[in-house]
Amino acid sequence: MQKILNELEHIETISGAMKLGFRAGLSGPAPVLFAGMTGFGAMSHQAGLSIIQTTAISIFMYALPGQIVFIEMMSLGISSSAIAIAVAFTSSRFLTMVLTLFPQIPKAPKEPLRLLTVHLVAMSTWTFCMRDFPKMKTEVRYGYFLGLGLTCWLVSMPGTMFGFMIARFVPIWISLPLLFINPLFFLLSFLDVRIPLYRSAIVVGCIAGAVFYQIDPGHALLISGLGFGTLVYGLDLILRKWRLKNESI
Amino acid sequence: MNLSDGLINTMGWWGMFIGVVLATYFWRGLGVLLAGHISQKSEIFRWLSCVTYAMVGALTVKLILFPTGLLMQVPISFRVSVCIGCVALSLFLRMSLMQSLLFGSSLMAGFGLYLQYQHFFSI
Repeated sequence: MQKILNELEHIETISGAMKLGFRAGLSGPAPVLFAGMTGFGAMSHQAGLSIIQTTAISIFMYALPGQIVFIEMMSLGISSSAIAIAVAFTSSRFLTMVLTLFPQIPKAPKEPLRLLTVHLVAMSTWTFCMRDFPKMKTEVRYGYFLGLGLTCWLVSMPGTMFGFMIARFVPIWISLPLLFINPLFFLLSFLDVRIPLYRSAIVVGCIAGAVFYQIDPGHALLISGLGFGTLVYGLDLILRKWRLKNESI
Repeated sequence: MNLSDGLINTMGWWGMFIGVVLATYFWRGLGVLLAGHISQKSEIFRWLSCVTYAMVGALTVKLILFPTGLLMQVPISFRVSVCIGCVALSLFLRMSLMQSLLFGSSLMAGFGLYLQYQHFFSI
């Protein structure tokens, strides 16, 4: 991984960046996602879905937390429209994820359609791109995103099928780490966030999440994200203005 | 039952599937359409980043503290201890992400083994 980080700043071509993204993907996010999708495949098998249905979910939804919500609510027999709304709530993070990722990639005249490639935006790809983009030349960032994103997306398909097939034979001591590896991976990748403002936002979001998922699980993501994320931004804004004022005096 | 439920029932499971796929893609697609209007040096970008980092933080905490399914069999104190242990290894022993992850996964596997062979431990 360290080697890849060192190469980031020297990449000159889109295809070079894509290859590097591919390697970065294989070095961490893709194996983790494979494990997570394996857990999902096994879970979906227990819910009684077919292998085609299960794989289609991973390919076309490609958002692990939302997928899990879907399967769970489905097995509880909750109405379809309520499921769609709940999934929409868990997936709302994609809006701001895309809004913070894509402006960092300059538009090129002949580039793969963003409305299609946006499907590759997922938590792991996003965290890695946010971390690595500032070190890279802007023109090659799209290549890095595509390489990393495609690797993760392509890996999720066999991961899901594998999990589905082994579901009946997997002992609990294997399925537990498979289910836990994704949240743990997210948590550990937060440690790579270097900008203090964003670090504070994560910490505040974590605390708010811990509180509000107990009080109002349906809206907890929105309250913690939109509410407390804005709070952190607001406090930072006030602090910056105050500093500016003091300097000018 | 409202109209959309009736519509989905006639299409069966795949109708429901299309519903959740669209519900997920909606935000991604909307993001692309709006992203062109945002500069990464703007205040809006800073604000949105704060919102997103807070959101992913909250979601991660949710998956760890309030999981569903099999993970509920692991006591919350154990789940949290594993997380603290892994973070500590990364921060203080400078372990790489993958090494800490491997460590955490082994602890979880160990707990699974304990659950599976619990009857050997009970007196």
